[in-house]
Amino acid sequence: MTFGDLLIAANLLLTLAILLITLGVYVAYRRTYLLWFILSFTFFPFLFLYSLAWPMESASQLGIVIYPLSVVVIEVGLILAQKNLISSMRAGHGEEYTMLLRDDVAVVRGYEQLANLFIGKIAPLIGTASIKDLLESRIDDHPVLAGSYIDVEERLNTRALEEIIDKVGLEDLSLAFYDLLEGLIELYAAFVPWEQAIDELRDGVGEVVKGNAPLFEWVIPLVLFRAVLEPVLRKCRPDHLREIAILLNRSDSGVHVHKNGKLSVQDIIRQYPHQNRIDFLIRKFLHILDRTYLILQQSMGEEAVNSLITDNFRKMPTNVKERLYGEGLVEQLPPGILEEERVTLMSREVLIEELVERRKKLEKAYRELAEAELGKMKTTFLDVVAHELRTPLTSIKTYVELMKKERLGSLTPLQKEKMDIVAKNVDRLTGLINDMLEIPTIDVRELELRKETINAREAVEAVVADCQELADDKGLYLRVAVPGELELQGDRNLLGKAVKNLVVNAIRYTDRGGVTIEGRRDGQRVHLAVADTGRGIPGDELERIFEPFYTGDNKNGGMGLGLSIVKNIVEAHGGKVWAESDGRGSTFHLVMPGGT
Amino acid sequence: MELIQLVLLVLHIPTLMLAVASLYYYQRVMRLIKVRRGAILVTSGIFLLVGYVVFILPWMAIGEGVELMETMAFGLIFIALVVLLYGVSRIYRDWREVIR
Repeated sequence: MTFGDLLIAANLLLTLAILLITLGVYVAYRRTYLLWFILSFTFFPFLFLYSLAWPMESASQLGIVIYPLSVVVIEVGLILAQKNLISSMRAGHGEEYTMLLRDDVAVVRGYEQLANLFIGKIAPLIGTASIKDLLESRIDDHPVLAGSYIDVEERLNTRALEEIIDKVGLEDLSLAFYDLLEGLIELYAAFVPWEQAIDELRDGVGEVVKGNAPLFEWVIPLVLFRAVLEPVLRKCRPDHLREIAILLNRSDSGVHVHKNGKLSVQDIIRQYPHQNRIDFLIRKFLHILDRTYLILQQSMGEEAVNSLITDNFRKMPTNVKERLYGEGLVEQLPPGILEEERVTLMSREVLIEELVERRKKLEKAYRELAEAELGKMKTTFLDVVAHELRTPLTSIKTYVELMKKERLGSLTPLQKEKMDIVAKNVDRLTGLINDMLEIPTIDVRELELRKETINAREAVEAVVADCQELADDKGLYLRVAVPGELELQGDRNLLGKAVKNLVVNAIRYTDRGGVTIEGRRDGQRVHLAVADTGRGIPGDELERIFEPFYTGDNKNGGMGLGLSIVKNIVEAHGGKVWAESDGRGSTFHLVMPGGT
Repeated sequence: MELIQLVLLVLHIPTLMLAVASLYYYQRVMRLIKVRRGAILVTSGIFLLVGYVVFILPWMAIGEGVELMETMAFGLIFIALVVLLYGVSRIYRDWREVIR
């Protein structure tokens, strides 16, 4: 086998592979022109099979004649395929447009289809004479339309444009078709309400761009401005419409507002960039909306404007909406317009973030509400306690005092002794009720107003003087080691109460030795320490002793409110309190803001 | 001139006429469609044409085949078919995406 034979065999295999693939395309796509292409390809293997079966050297010389004849068959097949392709393109819709039509041809076909939609509605109403006149006038204004005509089927035919399409830009073509479409819409609106004409335009554009992707960016200004914004302008008050017209017509907004609210958007086409046209259009729309929004709100009210614009967007065909929303239009619209769509279009991550944020806000609001409710309940409860407990206690105390002084009759010594016990317990109860009432009464905002600079030594000495009798009763010493220049910032009464509670507490739990109150400056703050030589506090109770009503292993009475009140007061002042205990006594530390 | 040369010359007149007609329709098609993978198909077509000319030329010029030129022609046609195979496979893949 020679090298030439090998090449022929390889060519044969390649030809068969090509045949198989083209048959696959035909099976998938089923178009006649593909069949002709395949038929023309089948002559390649025939050609080479012939070479293999009838080698040149042994063949009659006339055998070579088969080669030009095969080429003729191939060429005929190709011509038929091309003719079929052209006729398919001329008549075809759908995928062939998407896949095969040149972008500029597709755009012209789309405009033609849109124009025919209106012609189909106008012609039965007034015939085609007015439409022909309109087309003539538009041809005068836009020579690119020359050769277009209304055919016998009362349809616009623009096939002549295909001959010159290479020499004309899409911008010029679009401007020409915009003018033509504007005229057709005007004609149609002369017989139907303008809302219906706009509806037809919106639906027509949706239908036409379905199988014609390149048309979208050229035709969409019509929908965005004429079907969304124009209906709002048409409902505007005349003076406000005039204001909007002045605002937009004198700037390079790209739109022209007519007296009746009609919008012409040809200038937007003139301003179109070479790339990112949809992005440009959306920015333009948002800019114009932004400039007119305030006037529209004044004219119709914010809610009405938002609702109208939202409705107009929602009326748009789904394919148009999907494309525009996909370009990020919704997210950039003013709040109140397409709110539901905004939430729906949020990405999953953004949506989750938004939900978490909203949940946090809700939880915070709920907590504040609960705290406010609880505070209100506490105040009410304590008011009741104050009234219901203090009133009878005052009465008991009065009568006990009268009895002790024998104003209500003489008493035996035993009775007097018991009366003293009653009086003491009444005093204790009164003290406890007063303590309870102290807890919630610290309002931080009020506290700010009552704050003053207090000399720490003087304040501590005043407390010590109050408690001296109590300490003396137990044989305890009270020592003060606070520098005279140390100053605190806070409410004098409350801080005095806090220190007193600590000192009283220390005395209560100390049987031998005494209590020392020390003070020192710690940066901008003042550190007071109340140390006793008492029994100490178990380690596991050190944290809990500041909880309200916590008494631990209490053998000294009390309701466990004293330290809770201290904590309440200190924290309201922005300070800190804690306890330490080593088994040989306890020390309560109190850090407060220093005086200025 | 031998008879075979005369026959071949006569048979190539419609071949050339049809080629011109095919070119005309090709231009019309190009006015309408986006050219996808067009460069591949054109390259393949050029190689096929040159291969055919190289093959047929000795028969038309001297009335018989020249082995060296035949081999060269088959080589050129081989290149053309490889390019064409690549082109149609790409077209098939493109269209399959669209059809889906």
